Amino acid sequence: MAVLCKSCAGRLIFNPASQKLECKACGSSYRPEDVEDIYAPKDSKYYDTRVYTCGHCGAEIITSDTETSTFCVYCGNPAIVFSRISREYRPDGLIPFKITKEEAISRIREKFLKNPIVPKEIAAKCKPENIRGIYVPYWVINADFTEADYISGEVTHGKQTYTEYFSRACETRIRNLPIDGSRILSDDTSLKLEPFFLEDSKDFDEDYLNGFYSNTSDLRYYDLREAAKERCHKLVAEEVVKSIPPKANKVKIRESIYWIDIDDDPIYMMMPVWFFTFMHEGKPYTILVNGQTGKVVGTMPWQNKRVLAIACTVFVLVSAFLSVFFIATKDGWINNVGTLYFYAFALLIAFGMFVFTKGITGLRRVFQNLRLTQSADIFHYVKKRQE
Amino acid sequence: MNDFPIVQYALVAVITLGFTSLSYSIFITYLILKRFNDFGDSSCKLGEYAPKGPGYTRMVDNVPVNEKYFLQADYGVDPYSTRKHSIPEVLLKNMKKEDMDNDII
Repeated sequence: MAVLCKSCAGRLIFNPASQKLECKACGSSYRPEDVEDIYAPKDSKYYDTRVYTCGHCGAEIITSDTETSTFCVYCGNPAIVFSRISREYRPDGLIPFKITKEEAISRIREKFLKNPIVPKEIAAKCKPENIRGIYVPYWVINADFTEADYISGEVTHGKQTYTEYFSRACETRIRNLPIDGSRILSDDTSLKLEPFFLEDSKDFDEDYLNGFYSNTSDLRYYDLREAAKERCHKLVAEEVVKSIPPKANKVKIRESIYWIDIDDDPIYMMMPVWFFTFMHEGKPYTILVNGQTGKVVGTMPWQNKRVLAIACTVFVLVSAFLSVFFIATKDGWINNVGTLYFYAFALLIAFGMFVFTKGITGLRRVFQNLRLTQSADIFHYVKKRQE
Repeated sequence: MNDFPIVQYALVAVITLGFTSLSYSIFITYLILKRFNDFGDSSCKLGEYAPKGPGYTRMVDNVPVNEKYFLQADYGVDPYSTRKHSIPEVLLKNMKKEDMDNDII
């Protein structure tokens, strides 16, 4: 439970700007390591928390007793009720919030809200009441990792193109790899929040939690192992593909075999994240800000009408532009103005085919990120846990 | 040019122009959404967690198609299976909790 001010017995809140616990009543400030909580000695394996449960998505939100939860930070629903006081396992360490709530708001505003295609009403929702700081659980692991890959690539010799195969195997020592310890936050989302810099980490002290929420790790050892294995595979596969000679195009890993061995005593850490949660047209959205680096993660909804107007304008302009070329070709102007126009026209058409693939792939990625932001994955994970 | 049937010419024109214009409009829409609405791709690389790099033990180009079977033979068994570990208490607790939940169901 949270400690009180030595001078006036007021509640102490951790201020990321000063990195000190501050009393709002008398203005006193203390370093967290200088404040002792008699209810939770530092050598104890546990610390006490207040647990709130969301009636909509089932998520459990944990706070120190200085913060009262009014809505679910995961799905934005106000159907939140105090559930119980819980004794949680004491993490090994944490990275304290460095970015203040005001800084988080200004970064979100700077990134998204000057944009004319973002609905205006969202700017009004970006206020301190809708932003919550949460310490998200992570496991920091050291591991041995082995991977073997069978890779194909297309190689061109003269006019002939054929498929060539490559084999790669490696044994890698992984150090200080953070793995998201919560099944509520999707791995795709937590991955985007990185990097976290462990140089700023402190021994766990629950005084740092004052004024913030926290979440506890609900992973099993098997989950941690699988998550770490997949994460290492992604990192190694990226390097392996780079090792293929540049003569090969369309490089693709056909088969992979990979194994991991996590060292004993992975470090249980709390990482700082700001959650901006809001509802728009009946759908929940969560924009995240890394509480250490200020990196903003998420996809804002957009005004369909404006985006459609932009797409139509581009369509009309390009059509009109190309039509002039086309009519010129038909009427034989090309003979008068030379073949340069013809080549320019052909190039525009060919480039159009190239950007079509790029555009479709990119739009798919944007929509994928939008789905992550709409916290459907969070909802899904929580539901899965409840089933 | 004059022998080319006008209907076919018009058809080719409409399809080609339509497709090309659509391509450009999709691409530019994507660029706008990416530039203004979509943030946060992970920038972490292997080098940040493995300073010595991947540590290649096999790096062969132009291998035969059946190489995958050799890879399976050489790397198909967990090389760490004999190592024993102590599992952290929190993870053990979660394992037990999940087992208990399943028992209740």
